[in-house]
Amino acid sequence: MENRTNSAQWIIPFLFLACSIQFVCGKQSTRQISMEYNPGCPKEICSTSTGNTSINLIHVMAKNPYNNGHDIHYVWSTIGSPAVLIAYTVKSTEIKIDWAKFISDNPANSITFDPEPFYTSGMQLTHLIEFVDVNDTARLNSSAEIHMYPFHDMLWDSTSWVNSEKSDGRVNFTTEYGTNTNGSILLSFDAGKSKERISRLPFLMITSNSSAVDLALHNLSTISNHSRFGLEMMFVNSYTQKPSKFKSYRSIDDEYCPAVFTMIDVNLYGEDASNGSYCQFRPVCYVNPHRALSGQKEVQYYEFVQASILPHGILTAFYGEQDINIYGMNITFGQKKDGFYVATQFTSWTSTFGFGIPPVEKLSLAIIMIISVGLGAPVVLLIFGGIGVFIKARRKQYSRLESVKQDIIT
Amino acid sequence: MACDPRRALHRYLVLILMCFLSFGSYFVYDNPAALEKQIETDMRVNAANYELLYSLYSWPNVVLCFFGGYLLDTFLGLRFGTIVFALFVLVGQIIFAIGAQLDKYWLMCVGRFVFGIGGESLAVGQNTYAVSWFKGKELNMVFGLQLSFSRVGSTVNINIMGPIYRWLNNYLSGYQCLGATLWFGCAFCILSLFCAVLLAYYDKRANRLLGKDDEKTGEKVSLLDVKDFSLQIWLMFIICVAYYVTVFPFISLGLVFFEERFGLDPAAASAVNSIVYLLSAFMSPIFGILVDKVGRNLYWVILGVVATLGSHMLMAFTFLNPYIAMVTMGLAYSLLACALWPMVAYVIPEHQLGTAYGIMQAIQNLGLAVVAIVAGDIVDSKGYLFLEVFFGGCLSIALIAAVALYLVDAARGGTLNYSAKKRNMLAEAENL
Repeated sequence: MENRTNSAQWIIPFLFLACSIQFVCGKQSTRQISMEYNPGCPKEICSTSTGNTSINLIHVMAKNPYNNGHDIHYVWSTIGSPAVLIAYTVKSTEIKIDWAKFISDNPANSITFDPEPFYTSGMQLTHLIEFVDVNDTARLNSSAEIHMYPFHDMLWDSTSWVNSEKSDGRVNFTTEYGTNTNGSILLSFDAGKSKERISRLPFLMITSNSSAVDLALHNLSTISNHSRFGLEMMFVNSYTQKPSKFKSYRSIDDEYCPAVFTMIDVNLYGEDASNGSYCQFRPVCYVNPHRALSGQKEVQYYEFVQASILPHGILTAFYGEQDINIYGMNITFGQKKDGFYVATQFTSWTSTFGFGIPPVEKLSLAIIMIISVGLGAPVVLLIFGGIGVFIKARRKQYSRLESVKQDIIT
Repeated sequence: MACDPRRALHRYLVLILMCFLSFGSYFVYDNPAALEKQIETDMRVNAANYELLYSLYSWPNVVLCFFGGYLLDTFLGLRFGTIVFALFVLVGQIIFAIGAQLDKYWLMCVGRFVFGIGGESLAVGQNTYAVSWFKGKELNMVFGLQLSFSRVGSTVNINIMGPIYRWLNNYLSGYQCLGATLWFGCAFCILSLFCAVLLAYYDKRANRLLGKDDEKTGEKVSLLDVKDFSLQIWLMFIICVAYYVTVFPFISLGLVFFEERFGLDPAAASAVNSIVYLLSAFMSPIFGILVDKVGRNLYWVILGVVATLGSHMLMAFTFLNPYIAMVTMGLAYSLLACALWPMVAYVIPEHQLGTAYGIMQAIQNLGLAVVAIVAGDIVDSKGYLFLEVFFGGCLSIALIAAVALYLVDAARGGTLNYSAKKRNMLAEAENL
């Protein structure tokens, strides 16, 4: 009994501390999300009545509630290659888009911010890769039959978007793909409002400074039953003094993404560590629309290389001739013996793209509690129980001594 | 010399019979695992239905071996009861084989159920025999050797059933080939039954010669005795269940864990995963002798629990080569198994031993069955780190129970942690 109350007393302040830390941190990093669709676009360009639904540009503002803070702007668009542009700015910065120039053949500098952002970077999906994996190695190699389908040749629709006070901002884009399979590619962007986990596997951490990029390949037609798909991505960094880095590291923690111990960070450095940006993902994809451990397959990743040319899209429209660092990277979906893409005709994958440094997984409170109680309780029992037994033994000895004394006296 | 029941040589001959007593049941227990692919194709069943062959064995035994142990103490008696349970094992395997021969999967399931009635209770009988022949002598070693034999039984099975099937496949095909292969398992069950009969004979003879026929001591055994079991025995039950659930359910989920967590290829992962089984086959008798020589069973139990906890924590929180952790776990498991089970004999009078071992086995089966499901769910929803931490929690309960057992035993002036020297002196004093 004594022991139980002791360990309980020990836990309470600990719990309280943990809760209050959570509360304080949670409150500080909340942003208000507001979104506008094709801001300032003249009717003759963007009118949906003309049937042109492929001009999709969403400007998202993640506003810092404090007056001295900075804001984050995202631009999501499927014009040209689908891309995210992220800008870290002072308060009340405005985005300006010269729409006529933007859709012309030379869109350089048609998107600007006023005043100029401190830091910008971008992530762009450039090609859908299909390769025939004859030997079921799941790895893309030069001997395989490879097809590269440029995303900027596809026509995208913005199917839905959500922005309310309570939720993060979210936009879905979709494009038809495949001639006779009703196939489609779905691309979603989310803007984080506060630090939390995305509510589906692999439960990546999203912050008020980051956004999520989701890709789903649905019913695509394939050139072979051994086809696998992949993605060519590009990253752009406005800060050119320090080369960007790709890092894949193992962690002990798979609490949020069962059976996956690897995390991948692409670090696009800024002037100092916290002023850069990053892309983070787990090397897994899901082959069923309902994401579960049973449909979790590996994502293969390949060399992170410096590139020189960027396919057109919002990133070329923003950066124009500006001096930037461009990097490219491929990933492919699937692992050995998983039955290839045709097994389920579905693959989805998620990554985050945000400002700052990549969030680091920490042990959850539940784990820390179990460990502290689990290790603490036996020790406490040993100490108190040991003292108890010792005292009892001493008392027995003492009383025996007393009775001997009595005997001598009598 | 070998005929004198008081002589060591005679005891060792009887020990051989004891070891082979449950060899047959351990051999056929893993028949389905050795022939999983063949059963699934020949009987046209899916993985879930295949699992039935194991769950029909394990779930009834959550209750059955409790009654089995009780029956050994009462109506059947140890000798006759053991023969009956060995018969159940044989008959179960015969039904299992006939089921395959007739292409009737449900009959195979019935066979596994009948086998289950005998299998675990037979192990209870084996434990009880061990105590009655070896208490105060080489008891820890005997438990270690029995554990080792159970491992050898299932290993031999895994390695020879496949080749036998392939050989018979030259003459037979499909379910008939499967049936014929399973008949082979019956041979080992007959061997075990034979051992049960011989054991009964030697046990009776020894009691007659030494004039200590315990069956007529007149002590009534009732199921209600359970409520009078001392705190010590309940603490042992807790250690048993809280410890075993951290070893076997972990191994059954181990393959993927070693592949994903440590980047091992499937062959290496399965090698690491089988270390515990392999080590326990070799080390249990050796540790048994060690515990016999030193005594102090409780210290060994606590050491076993702590080492297993350490091994789980190594795998949870470090990237240290998993061989180190799994070898530690294998050694700790062997040590704990041969130090824990004999302790029951020091706190329970002989006429209740069957009941006590029955309960211990029943609780262990319950724990294993429940934790197997829980562990699968934890991996699916919370991942392996959480699973390891959960096992850490279970081991912490085992550790608390072990420490409590030490304190209770010390406070009550118990005998559990006596050194071998002191135990021998007491035994001699008793004999005088």
